Amino acid sequence: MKRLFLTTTLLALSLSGFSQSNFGFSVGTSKSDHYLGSIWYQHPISNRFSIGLNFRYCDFKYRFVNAIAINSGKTVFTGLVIGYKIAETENFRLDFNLTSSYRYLENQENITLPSKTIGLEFDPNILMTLRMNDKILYHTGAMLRTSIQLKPEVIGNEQQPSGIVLNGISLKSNSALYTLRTYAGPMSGATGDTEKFFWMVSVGCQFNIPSKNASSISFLNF
Amino acid sequence: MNNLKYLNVFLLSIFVTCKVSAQEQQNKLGFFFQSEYSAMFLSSHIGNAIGFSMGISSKSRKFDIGILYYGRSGPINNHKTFTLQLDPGESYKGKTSLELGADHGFIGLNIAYNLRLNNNKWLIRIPISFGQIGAGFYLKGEDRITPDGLRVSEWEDILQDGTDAGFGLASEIGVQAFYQPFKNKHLQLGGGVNYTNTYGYSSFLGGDNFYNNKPRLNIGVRINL
Repeated sequence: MKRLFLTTTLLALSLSGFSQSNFGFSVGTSKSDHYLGSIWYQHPISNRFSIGLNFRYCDFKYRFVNAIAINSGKTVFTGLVIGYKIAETENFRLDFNLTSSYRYLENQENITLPSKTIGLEFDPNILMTLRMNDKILYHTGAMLRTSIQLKPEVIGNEQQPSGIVLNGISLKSNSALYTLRTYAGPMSGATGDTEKFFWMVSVGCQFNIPSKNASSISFLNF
Repeated sequence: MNNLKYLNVFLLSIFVTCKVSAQEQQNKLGFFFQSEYSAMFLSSHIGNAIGFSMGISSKSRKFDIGILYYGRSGPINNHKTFTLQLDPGESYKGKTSLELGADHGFIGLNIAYNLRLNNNKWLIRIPISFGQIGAGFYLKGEDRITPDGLRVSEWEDILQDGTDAGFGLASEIGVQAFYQPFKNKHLQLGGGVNYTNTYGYSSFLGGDNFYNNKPRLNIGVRINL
C-alpha cells in the first residue's frame, strides 16, 4: 500500500513536471484577529488537481478554549490544500479547494483554562474567478468553515459548517497576482458558545514558479 | 443549523454535474452562484443578513436548482437587542434583566425559473425556496463571561428555561432582476424581494411571527456558467 502511494505520487509529480506552481503570502486582519499572516505553495499534479501547503499565524483577540471565549493569544495553522478545477473558459474559472489544517492555539489570558489546545480546521470552498480585463480578475465564492477542538477536551462541533461569502479582486502583473480578499458570513457552533459571525480582510501576492506570464487564469485559494 | 453539514454533500454533487470544459458548455448543465446581502423587514426592526445560493442550471438555462443559505447574525445586528426580564428572585451577575442578541439561519432547496431578455443582458428570476430555520437569543458582550466557569449556553438554558433557541420550517417566494454591466458575460448584478413564511417556529421573545409573513429585500452578484 505504501509502495503504491509512493509510486502514484512520483508518477503524478513527474507528469506535472512542465506545470506552473504558485507561491504566495498575505497579511490581514479579522473580527477575531489583531493581525494574521499566511504563506502557501501550490503545485499542480494534473490538469485539474493541485496540491499544496499553507501556513497561517494569527495574533488573536477572540478565540475559544473548551468553547469558552478568551481575548488574547496566538494560533498557528499548518494546512494541506487540495485544489480541483471544475471548469474553465477564457474568462471564467470554477474551482473547489479544500484546506485541512492542524491548529495549535496558545491561551495567554484565562489561567483557569488550559494554556494550549490542539484542533483541526476544514475550509472547503467553491471559488469563481472572472477575467474583467487583461489586468483585473474578480473572485467570488463561498467557504464552509468547520473546526474541531481535539485536545485537551474534544469538542466536535466547535464550529459547525458555516457559509462564509468570499469576494476579492486581483491585479495581474507579469507573473504575479496582487489580491485583496474579503470574507463575511454567519457562523455557529458548540450550541451557540463559539463564533457567531466572521469577517476578514487580507492583501496578498502570489507568484508563478517558474516565473512567466500565464495567459490562463491562475489557481487561487481563499 | 446542523443541516449545514449537508452543504458539503451538495458541493460534491456540483462537482459531478458541472465538470465541463469550454468546448463542452453548450447543451450541458450550467452552474450558478449568487451572493447576497439582504434586509429583513421584521416586526420591530430591519435585520441585516448575508448569504448565498448556489446550484445547477438546466441545459436551456431556464431553470435553476440548488440551495439557499443566509443568516441574520447577531453581531451585524447590534442595533437591536431584546430585554429578558428574569423571574422574581432570579439574577445573573447581579442583574435581574438582560439585553439579549438574536440570530437566525436558513438553509433550504432553491428552485427558480429564469427569463432571459435582451440577448441575456437581463435576467428576471422567480425563486422559490423551502427549508429549515434555526433561531435564538443569546447573552451579549460581558455577559458571555460566565460567573462560574460554566459554558455560556448552559447559563442561557438556565435563564431562558431551555427555550432560547428553536427550529422550524420556512418557505420563500420572490422575484429578482439581474443585469450584465460588464463585458464578461458570466457576471451579473441585481437584487429583488422575497416573501418569507415560517411553520412551527415560535420565538422565545418575539412570538410566532418573528420571522413569519415578512418581506426580505436582497442585492447581490450572480455568476453564471
